[in-house]
Amino acid sequence: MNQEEFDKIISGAMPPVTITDERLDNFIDTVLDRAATEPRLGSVTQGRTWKVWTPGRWPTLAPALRFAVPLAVAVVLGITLGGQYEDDWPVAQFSTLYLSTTLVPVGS
Amino acid sequence: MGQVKQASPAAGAAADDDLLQAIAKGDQLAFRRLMERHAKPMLALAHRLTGSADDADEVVQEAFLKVWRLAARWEVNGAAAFSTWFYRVVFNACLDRRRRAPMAPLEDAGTPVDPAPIGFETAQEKERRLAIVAALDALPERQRKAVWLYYFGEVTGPEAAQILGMSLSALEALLVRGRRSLKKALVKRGIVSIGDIL
Repeated sequence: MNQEEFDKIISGAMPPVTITDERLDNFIDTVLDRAATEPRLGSVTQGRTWKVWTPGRWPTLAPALRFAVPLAVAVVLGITLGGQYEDDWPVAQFSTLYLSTTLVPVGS
Repeated sequence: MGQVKQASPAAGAAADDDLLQAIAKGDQLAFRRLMERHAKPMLALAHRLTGSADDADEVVQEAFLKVWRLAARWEVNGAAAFSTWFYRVVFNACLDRRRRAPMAPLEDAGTPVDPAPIGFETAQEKERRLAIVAALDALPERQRKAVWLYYFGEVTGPEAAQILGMSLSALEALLVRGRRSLKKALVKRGIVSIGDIL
């Protein structure tokens, strides 16, 4: 089959469709009816500004804080206490220096 | 390639942008005018692609309701004209619906779309047409879109390329591959000329 014949075969598989004015009118009326009950996102979001730290948003932050606060405490404790077992730990060096100058060893 | 969809695309795009701005403010009359401009060709396209008047109505209705809901987000002077964007939405929705068609009985997969010839269509003609449509649907995704749009979309080459989001040369390359695959599929099914019946 040549190109022209092939094109005719394919095009013939789906004949063109004519939409009557009556069908168009019915269609438009249906869409308008449905549109009247549809929520419109655009008018709500337009001009809205986000205020992150409003009291109303705390409930959404609470789940995140449940993990973030214990994690932060663990990190601080890890840095502070972990140094007791490592001589080159910066916090440990600071602690040793601080303690040695402020505390008097027992029995001295 | 097919007929030109709009005589004056620039003027049409500007009018669409004005209507969309009014629709964003909730103007139902503007929405009606936008539908009067685009519904007819979109319904015809959807009817042709889905093979069902009901499916076509549903697809185009959903597309217009999307416009109604999201009109405020439409960027005037944006990269794409409204008609191109809308065509793409309807076209993709139709092909998605066709992809789900295997769930339906075989008879529904490629039902006749033009009421006039149905009564006179012989069983053999119908079978032949269903075979062609099945071969079209079996093409790989990108080729399938290009071939459907080229043969049934009634758009120009540059418009088709824009709708599919590719260059004209890429579209032509896809069409060449699509036609080649389709020819093989048709020959396998015994269709090698217009007069052939399965």
